[in-house]
Amino acid sequence: MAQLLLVDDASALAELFALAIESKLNHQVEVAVSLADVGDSLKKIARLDLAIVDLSFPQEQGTGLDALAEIHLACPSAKLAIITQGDLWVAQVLRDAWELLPIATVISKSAPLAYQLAAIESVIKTGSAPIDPAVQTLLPAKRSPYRTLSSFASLVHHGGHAKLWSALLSSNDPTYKEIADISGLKLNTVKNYRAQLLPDLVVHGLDDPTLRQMRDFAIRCRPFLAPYLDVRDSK
Amino acid sequence: MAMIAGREAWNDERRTQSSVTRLAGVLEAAAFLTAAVLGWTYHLMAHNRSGSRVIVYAPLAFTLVCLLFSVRQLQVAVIGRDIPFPYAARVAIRSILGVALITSAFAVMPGWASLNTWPIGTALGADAVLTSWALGWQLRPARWWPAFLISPYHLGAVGGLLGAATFQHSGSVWSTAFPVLVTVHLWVMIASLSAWGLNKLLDNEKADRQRAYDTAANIEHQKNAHWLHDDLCAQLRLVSIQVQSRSIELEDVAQLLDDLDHQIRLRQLDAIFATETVRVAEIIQPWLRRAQNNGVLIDRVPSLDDVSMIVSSEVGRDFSHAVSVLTSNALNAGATRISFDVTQSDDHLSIAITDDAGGLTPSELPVGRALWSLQQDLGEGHLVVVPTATGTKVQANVALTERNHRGAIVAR
Repeated sequence: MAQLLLVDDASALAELFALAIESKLNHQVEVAVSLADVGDSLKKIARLDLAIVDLSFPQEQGTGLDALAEIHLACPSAKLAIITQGDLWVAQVLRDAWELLPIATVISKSAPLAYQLAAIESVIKTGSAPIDPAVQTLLPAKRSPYRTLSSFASLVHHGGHAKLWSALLSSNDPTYKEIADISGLKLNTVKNYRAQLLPDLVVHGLDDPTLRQMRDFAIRCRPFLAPYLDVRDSK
Repeated sequence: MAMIAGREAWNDERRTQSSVTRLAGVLEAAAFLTAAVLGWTYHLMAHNRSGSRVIVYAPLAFTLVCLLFSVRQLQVAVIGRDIPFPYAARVAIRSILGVALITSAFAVMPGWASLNTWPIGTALGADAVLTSWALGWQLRPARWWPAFLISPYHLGAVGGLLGAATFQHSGSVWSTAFPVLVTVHLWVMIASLSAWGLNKLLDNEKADRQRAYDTAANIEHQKNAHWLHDDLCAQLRLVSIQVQSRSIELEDVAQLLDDLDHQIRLRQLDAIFATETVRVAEIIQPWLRRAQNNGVLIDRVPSLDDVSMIVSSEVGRDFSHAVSVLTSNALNAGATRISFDVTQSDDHLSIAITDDAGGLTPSELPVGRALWSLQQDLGEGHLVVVPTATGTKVQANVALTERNHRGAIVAR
């Protein structure tokens, strides 16, 4: 019997899906219905085999990417799977998760139940399952070998870059003036730091991004960027 | 330094310029041209001036600098593009041009004639607001002149002027330098007025835009609320009544709910079409799910690399219609396995659906039915039916014509 963690804010659906997994596949399922519950749920599971995570949490500050990163950090050996509607709203988060984490499969929420259960069983037994065709069109054929968790280190060369990213993360409508005010950097310093980061942002699919696009990227990938900000900020 | 670098140094977002931004650009260009014209008018009328080499070349230098500022602004305002320069080069070039502008202006129109250079104040005001808008800086033009009055630059100049007048006991200081000081004050005041007016226009434009957005959002909310009530609730009510009256099997309930899911997907797609562009991946998704919900095994689907193109909504609607007809055709024919392939050429965006539901030839297309209508819509030779070993491959080529093609963009 495998131990699973299901993270989905649609609580009624999550409970029902967990029951289906328990009754049909005979696995034990712990359900977390908010991102804040993930940590507590992990403590209840002795040895996590598979985490199935939804990507969209409209009532919360983060996304499923935060939960996936937290689970991967706490239980590196646990398999990760995504269950999602797979629409435009989550397309970029899905791609980030797929490229940055060892995602074993992606399941469409609207796929037939039998198909979903087969995918879960395949991951538990073989370590992976084919991506649901309905979601396949949102993912590239191959993962970029250059886009890894360690590639975020090159986005924070020094404490100045950490200040820039921290200001972007706390900005609602990022302009040079606002970022300069929040970070305490000079206007042309903000511009220079942005220019310094442009080559490293290409790996993450950002080609000459605006401050707004950099802010959106930072918010999306906060769990991977934040560790470097903390380290650089403290130096 | 940030203001000297100018708007384009800070304008990372290549978004469409608002009408007020264009107006400010045109105003700046017009002000520089007017200054050049006034300079020449004064130069040609003032015959009694000494003909030193500096005085002879000053109008040419002044005109050249005004034209450089003016043409660049017009280019940015009309075309929306500027020559890419590094930040430091921008600061250096604009500083040199600024010094050249001021010195040549006072050389062309010395003494009280320098008041003719008032359009420079308008140009400075327009340039300042354009740069501040790009920076995200809320300007307060009403404070400019008082701030200038007590600034070290102004106090130093006034002190120097008074000292020179006191110790030289000469009227030439007043006749030469005092008009320059007054003219600079005039520039600052006119710049403040221009910036205030342009800021006001921008505020009005933002308010108008917000009102239009609010109205559109309200209409959209009402439409969504109506759709939720009229279509979605009616469909759920239908299922509910059928279940309560025991007139439906559980499998049929599941089928009805799957149909509802498909309707919601199409509604979602309609909402995306309401924007100007759509990604091809979004268009084929509802049909993949529909095939999947019909118990069909999907053998092959394109990856994001193949369907990341962003097309106009018009192309998207035509493409969606083609995918809809081809998928429905395969499902109605009883397919158990389907493959989706998407390709793009310079002229066409193509969808090919391969099924295992037996053979079909173009001559067999029933007149008046969906596949026949699609063939008529696409034009001669753009619905290609190829029999395979177990079924049929049908390919529809949707034209990327000038009428409906607003540029297929390959996204990352």
